[in-house]
Amino acid sequence: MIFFAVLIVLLAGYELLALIEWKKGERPLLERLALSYLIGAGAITLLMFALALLKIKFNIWLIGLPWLALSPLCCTSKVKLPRLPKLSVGEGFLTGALGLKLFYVFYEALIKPVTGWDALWNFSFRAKVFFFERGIPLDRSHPYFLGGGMRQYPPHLPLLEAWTYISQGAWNDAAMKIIFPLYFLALLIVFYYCLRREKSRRQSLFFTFLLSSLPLLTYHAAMEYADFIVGGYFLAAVVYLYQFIKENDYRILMLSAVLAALGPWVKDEGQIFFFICLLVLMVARRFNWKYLLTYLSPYVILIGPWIMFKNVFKLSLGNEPGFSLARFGSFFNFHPETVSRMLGDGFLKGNWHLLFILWLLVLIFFGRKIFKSEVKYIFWTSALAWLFFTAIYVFTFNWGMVFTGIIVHRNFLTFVPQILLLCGLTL
Amino acid sequence: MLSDWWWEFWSVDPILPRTVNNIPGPTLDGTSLNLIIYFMLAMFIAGYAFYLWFRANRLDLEKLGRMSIAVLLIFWIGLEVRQSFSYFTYWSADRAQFSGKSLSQKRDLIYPPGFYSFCEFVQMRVPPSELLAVRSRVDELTSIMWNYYSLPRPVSDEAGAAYIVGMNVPPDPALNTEEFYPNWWVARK
Repeated sequence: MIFFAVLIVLLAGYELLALIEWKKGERPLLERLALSYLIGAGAITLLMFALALLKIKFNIWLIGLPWLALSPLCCTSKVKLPRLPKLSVGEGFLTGALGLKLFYVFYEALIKPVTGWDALWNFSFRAKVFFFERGIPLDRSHPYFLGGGMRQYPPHLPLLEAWTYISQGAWNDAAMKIIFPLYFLALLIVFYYCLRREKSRRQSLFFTFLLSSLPLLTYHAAMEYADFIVGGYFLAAVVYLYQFIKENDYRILMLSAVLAALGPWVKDEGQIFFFICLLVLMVARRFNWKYLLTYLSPYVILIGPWIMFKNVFKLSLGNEPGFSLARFGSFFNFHPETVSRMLGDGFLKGNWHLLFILWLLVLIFFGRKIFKSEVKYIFWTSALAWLFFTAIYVFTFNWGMVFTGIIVHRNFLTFVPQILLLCGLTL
Repeated sequence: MLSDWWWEFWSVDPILPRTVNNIPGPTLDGTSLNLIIYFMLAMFIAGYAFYLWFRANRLDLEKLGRMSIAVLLIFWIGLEVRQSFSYFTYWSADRAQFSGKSLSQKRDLIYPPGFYSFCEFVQMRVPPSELLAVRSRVDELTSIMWNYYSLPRPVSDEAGAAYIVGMNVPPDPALNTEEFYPNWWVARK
């Protein structure tokens, strides 16, 4: 019944997307499904979180029925049905290469159960607790209070995993992993359609193929980690923010705001990404209050309860249990040598093929063109995300992680798709 | 030497599939292949810039940029072909190891091999209502795996537990232990 789990996620997202884009023009079916997956996954887990706060035990019908009941909403959206296009040899080759990569990612994810280190002690561990408890243990005396693991981490991924177990009626941690390649697929589709709105099919396919070829992304698409998922929400938020800046459609802005607000629900870095998007919007629209409030409203509605929950349970921000913004001073360090190490790793290791040198060449040769067009906003989102991580490693106790290579490349997973998007839109 | 480089180029990513944090990337004679590509790219850009200048007496930056990026993308595709060999190797290894197995058998194949069977053995021997304590001398990963697989059964200290589980420790002669593997056992207090 893993397909039921995915179907409900898609249905929930499809309905909410129909509401966000009320009576908007056509959108290609594949793009609509990709967005439905991103939004639906967030909606399902937020619903589960609300049930847990109300101390209502999770069950398949309680989570699934509201979306089945709301299914007539699906009819309100216009869909451009896909027609089998006539592909040139090059396009056929690129489509085939993308298909092979997707086959690999789905196969690697589904052939084996959970193996990821952080999944075993955190994400999937918490998911198993939520499944067997049929809720989030909120009693401090419970041995698995808040699911154990990293209690301060947002529970989106564990709840989504728990939803797949609930819909299967069993703890099947191999079938559960379908959620990761589906996120990868959604990321590729959103990326492709952003390019396709401006570029030829061949160029869009080519850059989507380049995105799928990033080695670290490919490995993570089959693993049970959350880094590229928060990157998926960030990319989608940036894509539709960019579309809004170009087209000025209020509904697109709301779509971007919802996607950006779902980022902090996956990982704490998402908070920063949300505010990066907000800052870019404010710069693009000269600090217009109407847009500010519009963009903030999904964040307040969707993430506000989680922030209040964190305050009530005194949960810290990020990895370090004792960390809080008020105690930043005690965590301050200064290690400028991390910058050269991060740059060296970005350019010389095998995680990103030749992405960073491509970025550099595009900025050198086409910088003037970029900064004269709206593409500059995509540059700023990726550059600000890169600066954020650099600051984290230069100025805080996390600097050691750059030298052990534990997490810094996984951080990069959150914004590298935008670098490639910038290159694709510029060339 | 060329033969050595050829085999070095096709070497599979030395990644730890359990936690892919960093992919070292291909090397030639121990030097990062990316670095060699950057050097060749710089040579190409300098040569092509000179050629453009020589022909038209001015530098067409956009043309130079497009040509340089085209060359870079050819290298990128070459790296991806090599990378696909790594994927193929992992795919065929996982296919041989996991395909056609039940979920329990698959869990049993994950590090440490046979550990899931031991966890199931413990679950069968200890009634769900009883608390158990663990004596172990295992690495961190096995300990994490135990916590993951033994859920939702909470673990207690020895004073409060009715059963004791031994992981990589000799059986306690004072207890009536039931061994699953040598030094891996369960006993009722």
